[in-house]
Amino acid sequence: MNIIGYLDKFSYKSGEIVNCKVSSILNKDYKVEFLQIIQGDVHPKAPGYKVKKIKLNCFNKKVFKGRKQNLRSGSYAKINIKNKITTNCLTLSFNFFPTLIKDEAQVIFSSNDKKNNIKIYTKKNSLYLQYQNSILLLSESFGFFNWNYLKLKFHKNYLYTYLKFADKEFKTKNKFSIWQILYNHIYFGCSFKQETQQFFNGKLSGVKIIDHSKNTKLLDFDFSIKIDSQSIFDLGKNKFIGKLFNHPTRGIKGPKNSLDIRDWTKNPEEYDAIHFHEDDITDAKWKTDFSFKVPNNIKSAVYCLRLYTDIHNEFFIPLVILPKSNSKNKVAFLFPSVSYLAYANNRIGIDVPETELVTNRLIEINDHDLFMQENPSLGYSFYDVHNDNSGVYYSSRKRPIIDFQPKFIAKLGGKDSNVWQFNADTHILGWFNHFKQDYDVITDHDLQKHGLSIIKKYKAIVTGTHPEYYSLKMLDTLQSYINKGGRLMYLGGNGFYWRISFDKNDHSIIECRKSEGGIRAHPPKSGEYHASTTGEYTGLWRNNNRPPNLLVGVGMVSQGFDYSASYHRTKLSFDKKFEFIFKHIPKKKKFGNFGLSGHGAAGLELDSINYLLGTPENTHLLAYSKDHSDIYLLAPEEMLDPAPGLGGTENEKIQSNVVIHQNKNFGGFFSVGSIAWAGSMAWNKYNNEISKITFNVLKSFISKKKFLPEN
Amino acid sequence: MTRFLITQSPKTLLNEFKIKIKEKKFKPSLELQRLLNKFRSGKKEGKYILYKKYGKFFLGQLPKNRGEKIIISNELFFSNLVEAEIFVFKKRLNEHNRLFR
Repeated sequence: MNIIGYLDKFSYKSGEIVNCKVSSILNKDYKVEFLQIIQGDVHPKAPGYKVKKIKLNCFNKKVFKGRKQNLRSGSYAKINIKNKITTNCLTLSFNFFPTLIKDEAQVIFSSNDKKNNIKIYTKKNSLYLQYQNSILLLSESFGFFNWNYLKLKFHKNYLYTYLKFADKEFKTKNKFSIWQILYNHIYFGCSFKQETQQFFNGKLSGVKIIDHSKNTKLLDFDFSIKIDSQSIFDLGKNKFIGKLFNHPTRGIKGPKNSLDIRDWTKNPEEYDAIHFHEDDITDAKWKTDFSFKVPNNIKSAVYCLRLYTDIHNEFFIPLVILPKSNSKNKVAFLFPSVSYLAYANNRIGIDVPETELVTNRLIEINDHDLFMQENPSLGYSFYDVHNDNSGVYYSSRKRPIIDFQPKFIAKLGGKDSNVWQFNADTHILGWFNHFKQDYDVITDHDLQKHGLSIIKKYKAIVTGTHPEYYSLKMLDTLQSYINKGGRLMYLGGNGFYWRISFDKNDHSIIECRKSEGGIRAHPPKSGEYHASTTGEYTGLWRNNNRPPNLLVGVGMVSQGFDYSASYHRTKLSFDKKFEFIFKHIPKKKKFGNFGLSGHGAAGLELDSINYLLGTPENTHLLAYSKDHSDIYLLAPEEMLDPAPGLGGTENEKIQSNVVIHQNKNFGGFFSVGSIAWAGSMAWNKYNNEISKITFNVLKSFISKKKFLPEN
Repeated sequence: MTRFLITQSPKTLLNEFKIKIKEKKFKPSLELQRLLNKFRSGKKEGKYILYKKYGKFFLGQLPKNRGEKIIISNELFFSNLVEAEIFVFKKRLNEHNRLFR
């Protein structure tokens, strides 16, 4: 791979300008194609990779000048100060909580201008002060994974150091003359030399500078103010406002720990810390390499920009063209852009050794994985941890996303195609194409921005294979759509599972904290269960009074990634009123024993009915799966009291349910409760019973006033 | 470190693995699955992986840290996944011989 790029949005309207940021790593020139994505799975058994080239004059035979743009991760705060602050008697103090020991310097505080610099940093287990080229060892030790309080008093030609952590205190006096400690720029969490560098991994709180000669606070940063922003505020004399870059973690506990109020919105003064990471990245800040206008005559669909330097080196950047307001299409595909962000640059094959266990086969990697392994500055997904092992809470569109491409082969997608999220969803796009079904495309981000107004005109909404991450507004919008007579086809599993929050100032960035329980790679710390971007309580929707069962009848029960199972029809499914679903399907008890995602339609992640969790009455169970291996285990939230028999060969709770429901306004849902379903739709070039069942339902959803005789 | 010993011989388990790994849905016996759970767990550094390029599967091993290159053998490659699985299974049998009585 020698070319990558990104857009800062997922969807565009006709006439809108698309700004593309590209890095040609070897400075090679490149070409661009604009393609409609019809089917992105390249497995030999898949229906065949299919794209439609859209002719745009701006790309026609044009060669673009390639240039490398650097990926620079690392979060920090920057404060610009105008007035010169000098003194001969002042105290600098702050609390710091280091979370990673490194051989290299990690700068907690620095200030510089063109000629001068001062910085305080950790290196290995020691703490240093550097002023110009003079380095002073402040302490040979500090509290690792502990709050430390550091006070440096600069008085005449001496520096008095006081360091306290746990029950230890250190005091030293050194001859060290500093005339000035604040220059034009102050940084928290890094230093600056031509570019930001030497990032700190750890928490910082309460940075203060007191001028004893005038008895004034020159600086008094209180990170508990406006936690939901990317600004920091100085309560001192100068009232400086600093800016945060790359979303360090906010809404976390500081050194105070007196009250048991575990919510930063109620008790912000105890959440006065910021956690910086060397590998945070929410804006790569690349320059735009080319722009183009979305043509007016283009239909709503999933497209992508294909950047390529030669046939072996290509990179795809998907984008959605939104429908025009007068679109007559009855169906919309709900492009799960939020879930794509949640999995952005997921390193599960190269960082998580257990992946081989849950797939029960050797991990297969390819050039995409090599690139992610060698370029951790791409940033991570919600399934990854930072280098200091703390969880990743923020994900952004403003960076290249390697696993958001057609042709991408994942790790958990089951034997054969092994596709996941975006590329798995192209099985559904290909299915639309196979049946010549017209459709519009709306993204999660549009749902968040516009609410019901953007989807209310559609007779049916079709989801992706794995719409796992939802904001409150997105969930409310879909629920409202169904309640008012809309019909939702939930063609996936593990949907509507985690609650996410959008950054209020920038919707390209989302936050997710996996509080309480659920299947998760990392838990947030106790007391840090509220999103910093909005203050919302986080975690499973099930623990937020909105189990997915309320919306789509089924909810997550299990996962496994070896082989998938077939479905068994219930006696009820043979009832006349469900004939439209099984029309032209042989009348047999089992179906779906094939597929591209583990050789079965029921697999990978499974959802089932649970009336206690809100499955609506009159939700009709049409089919269920049962032949799962012990690689499938009960989801932790389903396992209240651990007892033997948690695996798929024994536990009857481990099943996918296919259900249908019609409400009093003739809205409702058809839910398949399995990520592998679409992999079976695409089997045998879409000529199979799973594909037909799904299309039978869609046809009925868009054409009938009532799809069931009674509710 | 392990909490169990395997009662069947390595040869018996290898034979079972060779047959079942070829099946569309791999369903090992409980004892073989237990052994595989041991083989497939463990730390990241040195873990065997397969690097797919030009239709071949090259044997590789994960490095300890992010940013480091994944070690990939130029010489050890397989034309299909079954061959690769059997090769790695045999290798791991040798590496974990203390699991057997």
